[in-house]
Amino acid sequence: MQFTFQTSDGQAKTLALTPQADGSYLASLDGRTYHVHLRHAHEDALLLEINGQKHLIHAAQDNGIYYLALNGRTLTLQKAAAASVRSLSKEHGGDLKASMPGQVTQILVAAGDAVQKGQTLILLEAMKMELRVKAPQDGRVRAVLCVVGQAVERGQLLVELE
Amino acid sequence: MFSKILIANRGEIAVRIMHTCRVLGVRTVAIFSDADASALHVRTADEAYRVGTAPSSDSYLRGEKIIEIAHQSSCQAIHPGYGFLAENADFAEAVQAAGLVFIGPKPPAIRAMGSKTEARRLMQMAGVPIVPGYQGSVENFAREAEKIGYPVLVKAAAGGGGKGMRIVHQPSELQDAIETAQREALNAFGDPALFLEKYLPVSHHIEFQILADSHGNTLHLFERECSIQRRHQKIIEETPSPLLTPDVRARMGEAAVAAARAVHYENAGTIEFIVDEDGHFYFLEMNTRLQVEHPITEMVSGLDLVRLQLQIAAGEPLPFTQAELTQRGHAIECRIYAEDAANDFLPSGGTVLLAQPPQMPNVRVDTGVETGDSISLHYDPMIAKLIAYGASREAAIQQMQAALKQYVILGLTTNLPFLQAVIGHEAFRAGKTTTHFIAEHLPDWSEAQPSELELDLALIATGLVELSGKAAQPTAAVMNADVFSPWDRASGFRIGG
Repeated sequence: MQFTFQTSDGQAKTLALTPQADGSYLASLDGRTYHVHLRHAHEDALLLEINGQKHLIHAAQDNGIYYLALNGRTLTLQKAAAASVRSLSKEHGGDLKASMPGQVTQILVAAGDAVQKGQTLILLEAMKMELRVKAPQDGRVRAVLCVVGQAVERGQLLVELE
Repeated sequence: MFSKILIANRGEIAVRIMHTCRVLGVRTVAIFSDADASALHVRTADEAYRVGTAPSSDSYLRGEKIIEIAHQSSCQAIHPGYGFLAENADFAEAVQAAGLVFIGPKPPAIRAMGSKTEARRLMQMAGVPIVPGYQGSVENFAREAEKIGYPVLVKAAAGGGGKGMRIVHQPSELQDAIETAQREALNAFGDPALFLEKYLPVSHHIEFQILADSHGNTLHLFERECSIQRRHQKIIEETPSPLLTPDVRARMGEAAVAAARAVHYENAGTIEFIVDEDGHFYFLEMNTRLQVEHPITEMVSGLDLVRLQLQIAAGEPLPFTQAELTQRGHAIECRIYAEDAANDFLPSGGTVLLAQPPQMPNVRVDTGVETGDSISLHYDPMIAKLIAYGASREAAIQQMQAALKQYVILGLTTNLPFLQAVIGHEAFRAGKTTTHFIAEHLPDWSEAQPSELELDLALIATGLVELSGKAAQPTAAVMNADVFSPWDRASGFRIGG
């Protein structure tokens, strides 16, 4: 089976997982191949063994985003949509969704505008702070989905980029 | 001992207080805002009552409503926790007037120490060294600042906890700083009064735990080193302080007790000192409540401070003398916050998809959230306090490193990576814990990118999770002879769903 995931910095990664007769898997990505034994699976964690080395990985998902913890750090991955890419960024405010409930104070772009990675698109006010929603990568604004003065919910999509 | 008390707080401190109440057989009443209706502290309490809508001003700060709930639920006392109404003398008075016990000091002590200028005056009278400063008219600030010597701090008289202060490095900046500080002080504390203090840029923030009963016994439970701060907010605390010699410790302890006696203090409190590199210490302020970082004192003393608070409030004398108190080993606390350390530490709120604190000997976790709970942005975004103990400072650091690495929180960004960077830093290991630590050693820190293997493993794990929805079987099934093992079933299992 093949999967394509997007990392938090916008890279697309393709993984091929092939079940083996003994219950293990062959995993290949970017030309690297791993022989993976799934030693234990719990509701929120997997214990993998590769080349005799054990790796414990915790996982949870919400809204199409996977959250993983391993080796003392966390990562997020998103299943890449077939059509236009909705990027996920770890950077607070880099997500094109409102990351907390607030109010739109300024809209700095319009549909059709070309934007650069890191460019501020929307300003929100929440908890007496100004938050900047930034473009996670270069692109073009397909649509602005909010208006100045609008109260937005956490997770609400504000801008569509292509 | 009380049979029932109300905890006028939320989150981890409310939960922590309730745990001690359970030990003592004291029934607990929780209050909650709409945002906290299914919070951990509500689930933990014996009874819970709604106090208002999400904003604190309509809920956790509504003193009258809280007292009303305490009456309705037949409570005998109220524990204010920290923050919210804990240092509100009017609230403490209202609690007493309502015939309830306020688990804390008497209102006059709260009032005296709540005014930073009044506190300084009292300390001077008590012979406790204070930071050189000036408390007179703002018109004289320019002249007095020259006398004190720049850099100086312009501070709000009604402020505290690191809020409402401005550093001024040269005379030309003073007037602006005064105007800004007055505005901020008026907004934040309702009082524009200011005072001046000498600013000690490279210093240690060391505080002493005080306990005083209603029988005239006042003693200290040694110090906590709280120098690792960001924007004057503490992140990491430890005890004992790597800086103090036994002599300085003894003198500071005596000063702390003198300070508490000067205001006829009762119950638990903390005297904060600022200490320069030569070991000169100066009174900074007194916190007339339990501190966030109190667990480290508990770890090295074997005492339960909340239990002692309840006992003192119930009229019991302290069960030990100063001479009988000793500290053993070393304890460190890290505050785990829902914030993005890589993005100027802005709060990052969200749902805790998975919270799995480390479980190992000598590690304690005080948390206000479990898996499935959410961190609201209406309140302090603290997820938990992580405390590690060791026989020595090196052992405690090792323990903390292991605990930080094992702490799993999924669903929102936390400062765990940043804490790992601080604890792992050689300057921290060397005990160079000054208030300048972060600015000096980790000014532009950002988390390292995952290694190629880490990313590959994450992708493989995610792929397997996706597959598991399609009836994947782990290799373990082959080796596992357990007939009840779910891995031997033909139906698929779901992970992370």
